[in-house]
Amino acid sequence: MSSSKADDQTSGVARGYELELGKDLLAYAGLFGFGVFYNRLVAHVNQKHGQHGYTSLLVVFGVFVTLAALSTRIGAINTLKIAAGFVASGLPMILGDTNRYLEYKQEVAVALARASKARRKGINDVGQTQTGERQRFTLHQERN
Amino acid sequence: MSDKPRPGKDKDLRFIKSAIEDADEVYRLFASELINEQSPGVIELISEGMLLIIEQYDELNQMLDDVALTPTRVLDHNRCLRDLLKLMIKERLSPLGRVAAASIIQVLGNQLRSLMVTKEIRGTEELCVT
Repeated sequence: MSSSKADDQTSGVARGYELELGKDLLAYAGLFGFGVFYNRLVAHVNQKHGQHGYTSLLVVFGVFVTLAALSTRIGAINTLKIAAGFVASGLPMILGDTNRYLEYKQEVAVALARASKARRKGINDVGQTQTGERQRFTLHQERN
Repeated sequence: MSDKPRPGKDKDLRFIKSAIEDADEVYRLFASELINEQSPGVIELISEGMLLIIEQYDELNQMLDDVALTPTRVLDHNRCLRDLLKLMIKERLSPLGRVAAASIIQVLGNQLRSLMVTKEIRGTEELCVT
């Protein structure tokens, strides 16, 4: 009698584990599906916008979705602890990435301004500059 | 009589023509190979690069007619183009775009060599702004 009760308990626990494992696998499958979709989205964004400066934020969103999905399995407190860890390790990366992007954009702006200035120098000051160059040219010819 | 190459003579004109051919090639690469890049940042760089190369082409053609003109501004344009290319290769270009960018860099290097010879023949002090 007591033996069959123990057997029932054991099989109940096993069923519980199976159920939990099933839910875990469902969450992982959902995350895999999200990963496939998200990969396509990021590829599209990268192709369309090139250096967009949102790489770190795309990573943050991916981690957020993963934690949100897993929070149903590991509980809110555990999720918050892991999220705090990600914030601690990810914040310097986000700030650094944003800073690098802004520096790059600054370089682009300077290069474009310099290129534009070089072109305008050719158009606006053509007479003045050519006169100066002719004078230097004459001096050079005289020297040689 | 000195055998030093003179402005407007054979060697001078040959190197200017070579620089013009390089400008032609760079324009062709911009217009046919890189023009398909979709990213807004890249399009801005390509547009500025094409305007620079057109300007350079014009200057080089004037140099063929006017022996008093020095390649100072053309060198300036070449330098600006190299700066733009340096930034362009940091962008996410397509594989074809990356090859085109590498080809442009190579042609700009050849052009720089021709321009240095012309500069030596026509002789001028360094005027370029950095």
